[in-house]
Amino acid sequence: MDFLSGFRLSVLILFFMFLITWLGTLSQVEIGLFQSQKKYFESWIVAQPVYGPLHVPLPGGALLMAALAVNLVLGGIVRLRRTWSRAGILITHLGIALLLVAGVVKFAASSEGYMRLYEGEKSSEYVSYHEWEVTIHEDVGDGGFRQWVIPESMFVGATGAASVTVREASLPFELSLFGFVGNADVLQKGPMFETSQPVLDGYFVQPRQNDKEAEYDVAACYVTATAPGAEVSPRDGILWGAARYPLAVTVGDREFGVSLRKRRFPVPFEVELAKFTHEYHPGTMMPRVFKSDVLVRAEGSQPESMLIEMNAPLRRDGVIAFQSSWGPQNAGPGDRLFSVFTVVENPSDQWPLWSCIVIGIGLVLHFGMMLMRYIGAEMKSSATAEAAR
Amino acid sequence: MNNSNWDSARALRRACSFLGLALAAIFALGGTTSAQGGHNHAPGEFVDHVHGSPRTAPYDAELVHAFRTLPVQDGGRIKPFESLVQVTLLKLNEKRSVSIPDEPMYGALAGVRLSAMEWALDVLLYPDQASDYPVFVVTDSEALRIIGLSEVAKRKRDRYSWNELAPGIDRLRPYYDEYRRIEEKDRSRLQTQIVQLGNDLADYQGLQRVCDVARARFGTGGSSLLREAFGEVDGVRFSVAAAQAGRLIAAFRALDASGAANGDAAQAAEYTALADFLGRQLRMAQGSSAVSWLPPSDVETETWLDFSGVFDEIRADGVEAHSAQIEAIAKLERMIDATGDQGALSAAGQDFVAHVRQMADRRGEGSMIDLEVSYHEADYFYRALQIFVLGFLLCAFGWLRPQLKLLYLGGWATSVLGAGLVVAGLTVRCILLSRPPVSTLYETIVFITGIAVLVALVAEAINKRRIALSLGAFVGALGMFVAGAFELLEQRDTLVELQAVLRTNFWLATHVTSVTIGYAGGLLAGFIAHIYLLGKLVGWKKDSYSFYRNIGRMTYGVLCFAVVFATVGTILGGIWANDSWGRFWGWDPKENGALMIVLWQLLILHGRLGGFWRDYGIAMLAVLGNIVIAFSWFGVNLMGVGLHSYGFQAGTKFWLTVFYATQLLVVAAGAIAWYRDRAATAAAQKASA
Repeated sequence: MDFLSGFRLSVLILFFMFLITWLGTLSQVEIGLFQSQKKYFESWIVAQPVYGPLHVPLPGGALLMAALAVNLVLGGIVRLRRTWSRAGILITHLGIALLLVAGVVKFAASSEGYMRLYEGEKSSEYVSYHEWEVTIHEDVGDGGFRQWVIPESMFVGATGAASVTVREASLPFELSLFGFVGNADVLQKGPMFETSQPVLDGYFVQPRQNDKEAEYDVAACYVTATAPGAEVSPRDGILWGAARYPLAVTVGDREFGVSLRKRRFPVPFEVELAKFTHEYHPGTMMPRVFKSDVLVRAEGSQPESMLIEMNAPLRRDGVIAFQSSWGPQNAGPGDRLFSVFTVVENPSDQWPLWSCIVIGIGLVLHFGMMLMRYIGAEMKSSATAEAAR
Repeated sequence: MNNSNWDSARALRRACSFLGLALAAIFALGGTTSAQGGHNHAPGEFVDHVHGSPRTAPYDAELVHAFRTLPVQDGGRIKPFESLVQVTLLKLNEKRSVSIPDEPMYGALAGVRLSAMEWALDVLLYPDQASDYPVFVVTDSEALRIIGLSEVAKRKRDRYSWNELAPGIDRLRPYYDEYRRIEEKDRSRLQTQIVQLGNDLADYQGLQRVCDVARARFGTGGSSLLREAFGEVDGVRFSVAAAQAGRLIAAFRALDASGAANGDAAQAAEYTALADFLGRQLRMAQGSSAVSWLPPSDVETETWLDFSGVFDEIRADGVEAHSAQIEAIAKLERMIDATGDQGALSAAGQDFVAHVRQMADRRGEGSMIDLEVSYHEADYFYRALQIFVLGFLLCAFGWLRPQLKLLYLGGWATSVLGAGLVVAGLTVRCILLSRPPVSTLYETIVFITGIAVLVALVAEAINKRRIALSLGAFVGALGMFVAGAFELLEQRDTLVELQAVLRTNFWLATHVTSVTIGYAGGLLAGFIAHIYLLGKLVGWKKDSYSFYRNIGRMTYGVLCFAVVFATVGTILGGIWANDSWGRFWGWDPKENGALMIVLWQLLILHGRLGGFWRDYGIAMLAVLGNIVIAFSWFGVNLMGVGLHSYGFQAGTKFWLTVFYATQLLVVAAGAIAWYRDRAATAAAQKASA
């Protein structure tokens, strides 16, 4: 208990956090942001290469954060002596605890993606940057369709020969997924080489190394559809994130489209891009402004026109949309442009702001009081020095 | 001005020589006075390029000042010509002035020192003469070998002239084309130098040719149509031709439509002559396009025009809308014609500048021009450097003669004055750019220095032991020196427009200022710790326990100040990121750098509370903190990854390494002193036991 709440642990945590942050920063040159974030900051233990095959185990970001939380709460809040001179420290520590909670909430409960709209287009969903899902669509006529969604969390374990079978009462068939790969090409099997991957109609899934920019990864997997007592065609197929058309599966006289795509998140309103504007500093290629005029329609209310621009996102119903990019990059004057918004749902969106205010107050209080005491002591000592003369 | 100018200028020259035009033919035609006498070409002959006599008298001061305040558009903003010229010269010469050697070949100008604007005026108005000025720094011997100059015996820092370098351009070009494709951070020293030299030559050539349009006289050839339009003249000036451009283009199109080339021989000749006449103007204008100094007529259009832009606009929407631009060119021509007489030149030049300023005024632009010129003239940060050096000297003598109160007061006065100059300079920058003074690396150097000096002065006011005051003056001088050196390394206008994501005064004012104040505090604490460690090592005031006790407390106090701003500033950065990129924290290198500073400072404070280290330890850790701050401030930008890599310089890497090394040396020195102290204490205890 004394160790958990003590300064020795604080100093150790701070030192290792410093070290991990430094190593994680340097590693970005080699392995990119996403991978270094996973390796250093979201891990419990890091195997840090030192020299050749020699690796040294270091505490990872998750472990350090957890230890920090324990040390901070026990030593910095619970066991902190309740005196006026420590009021500022207590406030500061409470603010940092709030920041940690905000981080945990964000990590556990937020989702993030993008919405890409050409001028005049509208949408009420956004697309994840990293997460995949398998969808099954059935055409029910009159332009309508039914949809079943299998989130990545259900089939992420279906790698190699391990398979995951999805059954759904409303579906007339079962879908087994296997051989899931986070980044892959689908290639034609030539006569001159062998592959250990299953080959379907001459094609197979070729796993690739993860891209430095994780959002460029394209996932793939194999599927098998079975239905007891009904004709299924085809039985096997390959799903690929970059495929342009769904895999068409016929079960009896019903037709389904199966596809692997980036996860979609619905938002409780519809966004229409009315106009996208971008300006350069005159005579240069340096962007000065880019902004999007949008119309926002919620069910049962009038459309509102709003502006989304750099540093000024749209916040509404727990959804935050940021101006993040635009295109096409080779657009000429007068071409139709699209605008890309990063969309985030994060329950702890504004908590860091509150924690910052709390921490600021705490620090100013504490160090302000210290400064006053110091000035007082200095005045006294110079007064005694004068008197001594 | 950019690299492409070189390409266009050289492509142009090739095109011209292909057409058999006497582009480089130099005919002495100094307007009112003609040193080499008369027009030695037949009427109607094509004359594109006319150079005047050399300059023998100094410029009228008013002309030089007028050109300083000439508004131009560059780097996305309207700035005085002075700003553009200073940076151009700084790039070539690594100085803001040109010293003409005291040699007979320079005639009346031998031994003269030219200001940046005087040099630029020479390049514009007397290009042949200016081509002999030694202004190019080439230090790499391999680069010299490539350009064929290794035989020329010069010392390393000697400058080369355009005339010396120009014959080697064709040899340089393949290397330049290859190396500029390599990413800046991957270039070797030689490659960097070659690319830089190529860019410098292109920039210089751009400037050299800017006034060619105004110098040119376009012959009418055998065209009766042209003679009808312009009369029996000896070459038509660009402004005169431009005023008729609408009519001529219409006539040209009519000839084109009537299929002149296939039918009547006289019409075909007319068609060719007209095409040639217009084509030469266009090419000439394209070659003179390095400076955008003509405000467009249309208020909606933000991009200012160079000469080829004017030509394009006239072709697109007629002459009438562009009479003000044509008038400006005519005034420039009159100026060129007056280069033989400094009095007349001054009058014509001021007339030109006044006209352009009036055009800018009508658009509501250029209102800050005079303030910016005064900013350059005041040279706040260089003066602050001088004052801080003086202040530091006063303080240093004060340590030798502590009873002289005057030295102490002098130290105070100079430090306050120096800090005042820094604050004044930053304030003017704020006004010029309408934003807080901290958005580029250069600005952070100045700002951080200013804050460090002010904090030192406050510490001195409280503790009155001369340590903080001396250090304040020292840090002030060091910071201003680094700012100047960085400007030289960076070689660009330090007053810059910001890209979209940084254009938010709220976050610049809160996040960036507080983080940089945190940097300033941390660095000041680190420098105070230098005194502690080095003083202990050399045994300065070694009997004064209270002296070191005091420095220790000051280090700690300034560190506390720093941690407040570093912590709050870092979190504010996250809140800004949450508003612009949709996440509070993204483990971007710059974010991590700020976090590392906070963690390091918290480590020092918590370890002190835990009793793991005291004055010695805090001092050593604070010095190491300087490395952390330097890594976050400059180091991460050198990594070339992430969202914050907004400044990159190869030279920075070297100096950063030097800084890391010095800090480590200081820590090592401190460790030696600590070990020695401990041994001495142990021995004393043993003896007393």
